[in-house]
Amino acid sequence: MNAHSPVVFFHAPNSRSGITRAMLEELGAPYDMVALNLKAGEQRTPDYLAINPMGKVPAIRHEDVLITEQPAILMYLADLYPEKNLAPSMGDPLRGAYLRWMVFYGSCFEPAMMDFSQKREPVPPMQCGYGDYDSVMRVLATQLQRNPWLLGERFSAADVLWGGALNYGLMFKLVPDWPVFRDYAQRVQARPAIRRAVAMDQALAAEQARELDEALAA
Amino acid sequence: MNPSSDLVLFHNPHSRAAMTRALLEELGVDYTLHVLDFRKSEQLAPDYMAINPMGKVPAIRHKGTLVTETVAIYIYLADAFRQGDLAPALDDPQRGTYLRWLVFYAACFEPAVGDRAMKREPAPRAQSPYADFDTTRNAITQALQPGPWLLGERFSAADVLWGNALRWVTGFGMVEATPVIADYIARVMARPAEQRAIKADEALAAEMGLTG
Repeated sequence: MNAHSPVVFFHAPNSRSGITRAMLEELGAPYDMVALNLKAGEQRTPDYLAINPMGKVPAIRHEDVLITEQPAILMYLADLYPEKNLAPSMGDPLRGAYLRWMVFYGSCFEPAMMDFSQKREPVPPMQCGYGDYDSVMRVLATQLQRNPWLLGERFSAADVLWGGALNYGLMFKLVPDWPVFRDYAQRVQARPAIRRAVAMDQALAAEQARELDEALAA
Repeated sequence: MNPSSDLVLFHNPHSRAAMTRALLEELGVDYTLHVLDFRKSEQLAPDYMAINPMGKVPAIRHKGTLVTETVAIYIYLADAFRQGDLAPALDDPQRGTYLRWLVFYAACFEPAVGDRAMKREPAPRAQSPYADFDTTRNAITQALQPGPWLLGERFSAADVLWGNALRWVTGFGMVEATPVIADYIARVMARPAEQRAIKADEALAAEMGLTG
C-alpha cells in the first residue's frame, strides 16, 4: 500500500464532512474531492449509494478501499501519516484514551444530540449504549475542563473531530452553551489548517448554491 | 513476561461486556475479571464512575491505560495483542474496511436498534447520523452477504463484535434473524473461543444468582 497516494474524498459543504476536510488539511494529505450537492439530493443517487449505502458524507476511497463513518476515516488517516503526530502510536499510554474519545463521538455524542433535537425520552440503560444527553455532555465537559486538548497538552485527530462537532453543536444549539465548549471549539477552529478548510467550504457552498439556482432557472 | 497479566475487564455477564470477554477469549490472553453487580448499582458507585463516568460496562485497564466504549476496546485490544491476528496491520489494505464496520456498529447499528426497540419515529434524514433502522440493517446485511467474514476470507475482531451483537439483538427479537444473519451468527458462534466465553459467562451468572 502506498500510504501517501491521494485520497478520494466524497464531501458536501455545510455537513459533518467538513471535519474530514479539516483533517485532510491538518495532515497536508493530497486529496481529490468529489463534491456532492445535498440540496440536489446527490447523496442518494444509486452511484453514491454504492459508495455509502447510508446515503451520507463523508466517505473516502484510498487505494481502492472505501471507508465510511467519520471516526473510522479520521483514525485511518491519522495512522496513515504517523509523522504528522495526530494519533498516539500503538504502545503509547494515550492510545487507549484516544480511541475512546474517537468512538465516544459516534456511539454516545451523536445519538444523544439526536435524542435532544427530537425531544425524545432517553432509552432504558439496558437497551442503550449511550446513557442520556445530560450524562454525555457532563462527561465531555469534565474532560475538556482539565486541559487545552482532549488528550492533555497534545493536540490530536480527536480534537479535529470534537472541535468540529462542538462547533456544529453550538451553532445549531444542540449542545449546552457552556464556556468550556465555546472556548475549546474556538481553540480548535483557530488552527490555520482548519480555517483554511472552513474558508474553502464557504466558497464551495456558494458555488453549489449558484449552480443549483442556474439549473432551476434553466 | 506475559504482557496480558495486568489486564482487567470490568464486567457483568448480562451486559454488552460479554462481547469484550468473547474477544479476550479469541485473543487467548490472560485477564482478570472485576465483576459489577447491577442489582447493587455497583456500576454507579464512585469507585467505578472514576473508571467510566458513563456508569456502564465494559471498561478495561491494561498496564495503567483505561479504555471504555466497546468498539474502542476492540480496536485497542486487537492491536495490542497482535499475536491473536485479529486486526489488519496499519499498512494493510483491509485496515480501512475493518475500522469502518467496527465504528458502524457503535455509531449506526446500536442507536438504530435502540430507536426501533422504543418504537420511535426515525429522525429526519438530513439530520440523522444513522439514517433509519432499515437502511442500517440493509447496509450491514450487504456487507455480510459475500462472506464468510466481513473482510472476506479473513476472520477479524470485527466478526467477534458483529457475531455477538447480532446474536444478542436477534435473541431479544429486536432484529429478525434473516438467513444471511442467522448463518453468520452460527459461523461465529461455532468457534471454540466463543463457546468458552458463553459457558464462562453462564457459570458466572449462575454463581451470582442471576439465572432461573
